[in-house]
Amino acid sequence: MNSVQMDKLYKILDSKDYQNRYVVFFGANKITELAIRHLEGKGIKTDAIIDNDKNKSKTTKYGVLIDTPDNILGKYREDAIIFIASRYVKEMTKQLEDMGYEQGEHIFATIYQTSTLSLDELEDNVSLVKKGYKVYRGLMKNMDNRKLFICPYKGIGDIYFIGAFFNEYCKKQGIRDYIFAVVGNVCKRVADMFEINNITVLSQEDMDVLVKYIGFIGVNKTNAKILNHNAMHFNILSPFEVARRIDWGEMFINGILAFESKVAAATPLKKEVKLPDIIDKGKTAIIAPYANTVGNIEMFVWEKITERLKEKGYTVITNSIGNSEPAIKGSYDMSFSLEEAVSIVEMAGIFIGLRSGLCDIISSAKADKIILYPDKASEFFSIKKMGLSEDMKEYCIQGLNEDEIVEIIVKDIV
Amino acid sequence: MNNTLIFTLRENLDNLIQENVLNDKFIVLFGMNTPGDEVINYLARKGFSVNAVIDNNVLNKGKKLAGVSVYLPGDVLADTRTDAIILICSRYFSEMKKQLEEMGYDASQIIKVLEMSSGVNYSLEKQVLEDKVNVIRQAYGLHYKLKKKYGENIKIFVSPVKANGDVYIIASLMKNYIRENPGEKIILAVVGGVCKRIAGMFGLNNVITVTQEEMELLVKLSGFMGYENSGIKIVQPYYMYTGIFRKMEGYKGITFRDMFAYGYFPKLLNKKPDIHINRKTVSQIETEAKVLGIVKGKTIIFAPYANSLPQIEWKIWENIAEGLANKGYKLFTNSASDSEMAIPGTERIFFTIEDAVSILDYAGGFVAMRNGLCEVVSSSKCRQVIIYPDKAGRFGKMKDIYGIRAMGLNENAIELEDSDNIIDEVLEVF
Repeated sequence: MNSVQMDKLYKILDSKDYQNRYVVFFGANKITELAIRHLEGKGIKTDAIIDNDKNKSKTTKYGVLIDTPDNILGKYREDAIIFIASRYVKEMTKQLEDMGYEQGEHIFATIYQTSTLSLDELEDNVSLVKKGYKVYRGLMKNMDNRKLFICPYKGIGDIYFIGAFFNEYCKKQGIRDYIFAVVGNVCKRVADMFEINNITVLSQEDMDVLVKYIGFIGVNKTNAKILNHNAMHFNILSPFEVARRIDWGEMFINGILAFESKVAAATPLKKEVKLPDIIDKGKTAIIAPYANTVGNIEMFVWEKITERLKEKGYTVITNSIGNSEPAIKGSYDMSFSLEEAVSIVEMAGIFIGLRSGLCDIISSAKADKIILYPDKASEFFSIKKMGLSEDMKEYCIQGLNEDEIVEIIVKDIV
Repeated sequence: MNNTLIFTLRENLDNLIQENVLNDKFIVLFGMNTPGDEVINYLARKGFSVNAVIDNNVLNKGKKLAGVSVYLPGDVLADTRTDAIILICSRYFSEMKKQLEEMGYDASQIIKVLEMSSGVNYSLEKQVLEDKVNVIRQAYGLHYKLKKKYGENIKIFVSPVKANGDVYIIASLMKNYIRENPGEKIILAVVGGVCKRIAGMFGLNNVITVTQEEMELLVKLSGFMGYENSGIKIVQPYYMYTGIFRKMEGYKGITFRDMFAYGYFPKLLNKKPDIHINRKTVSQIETEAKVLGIVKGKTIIFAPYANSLPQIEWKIWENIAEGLANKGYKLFTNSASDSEMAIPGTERIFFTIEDAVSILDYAGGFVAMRNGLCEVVSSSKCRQVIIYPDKAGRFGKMKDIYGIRAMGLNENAIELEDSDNIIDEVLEVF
């Protein structure tokens, strides 16, 4: 899920009142997972997940029971608030309506909306394009020969990856004068780590209308380049992800930046920090169990990993950023800035993370780095294949039980 | 490459000849691409030889374009040659020009023989935006009409490029898709009657034709509102995107057909293409074949013209035809218009697209430059020889990317790459 979709999801979730409501998500998937975590961070518990796939029935995900719509909602509950976390909004809404639930009262769409193309919708989009034109003009001023580079999403991994190859790309193309547009200050900080010049920070809203405008007017009719392969390709590239013939890194390096031969990733600037008291130098594992794009691993697995590492004499620290991403039981919590991440991991000696943007950030650290991929599909984002690190150890843990996962990790460390 | 562009190109070349720009010059063509092949063949007919083709892709070094050797720019132009004239017909004209100027060449030596980048103007005025907005409103109107006619929930798959081979691939995939999704109401919109008829060969009866202008509107609307909102799906990976697919050509063995399948019909990706089309039996086609003068099993039909891939030297066709005539074959050149002249020693022939497979079954032999007809006749049981330019895409050879065999359309096709032995290789087949 990209940052635009996540913002939209959280905005919808935050706009609802949950007092005395029975909270249900329709669809056991990544959207639901992020939503549950987001609500949890605000002290709101999710009661159930419904899914038409009977194979998922009676299992739990993210600590919440999954069952069929009939089993959970068959007996009409006036207090139900049901979020649809799937692109089949129309079909699922109808299914719930047939069970007596009402749109706007009980049923709410999340990132996917039902839509028939109305004239109003068309005109709304036209005004977005016009806003985008203003943003574009504002950025370019009267210097239309300047290249405008656009990073449409605010995922730190996305920016890191772009940053690692950006200067080499400019060198190849002979581009000296450019504007580098990102969303939010965190992205700017990541771009700064690669000494990218002329960084302009936009709001997500301005970025969205800018991308919309460029798509509308035609990439070739502007002097802009969108540094992402799926921001405006109408999802036709996602089947490649599924089929795993081309990985994320390959799509970007060959398809967007059009490098013909292998190109080395740049190393980011590193901010040196004093050894924090909590870190036992070379005998500490930083664990990073949270991710926004790939599916999460159940918490008890991380707890087992933590337990085992402690038995072996390691200090374990969770990279934690607050309530929605709490420390794993038995570990210390710690937050550090992106600029400090490499130094911290190098001092700790070990990094174990679920594939997230942080894995890109610490990819240049000299430490034992273990990255877990929850399923085959997530290997699409392989850091090694992106060319960011040669010595990273990457494992796909699909189908493994917790003991097997723990074994994989421990064998690499001890 | 459409006819208008070819005529403009020829006109520009005629002007250069009339102004004596090419006399006694070392003529270099920059870029191993179409319409570079046309430049070489046309100048040859006017008595001028292109001395070298230069290309920045190291994989193309040593190959030939329409019989002329391909070099890296530094190989032939390193010592600034005052007698050199460099012809360019590429959308990267300005980059190429800059590269040559950095090598010491004067702007007067660098000639754009065809405008390929259609009016890029970065300084957009508000009016351009307003015009585009009006186009979108028109598109909405067209879409509204189509929904009125075919139903509110109709999905419109659009095949925007008027290319026979593309439509053949799309139709074969759609046939499967419809079979597997019987509940969906879909129409396929194509440009031009021939495309509709090709889709019809697969028994698709939900095909509509729209004009090129209407097609542009549907494509614009889909891009603007997205598939989810508009219900319009552009089933052509090379259209409207930022060139990403072209840049990935041949990567990890991905073929042209894979691009369509990946992009739109991912579930069909690993299935053998369904090329079961409506065709006539030998006895049903016999009368027509006889009228055309085809001798059963002893006739070879040539299709030497191609729009997308570079063509080979014209003389090669003449030599192949001569060799096959000596072997006793009756020879025809498939020719759809006066601009497609028959290879000397062959007669012009024309048959409908629906009859193409049966006619070839009856004739027995087919020798073609890789073009859209190769897809259309791929299910014919005749002996098929397909010639590919010896040219590399970014990640593979043309034969691997656009190969009829590689795409799973005909495993018996004999596919050859342009080389010094090409004539003998073709003659050996028959």
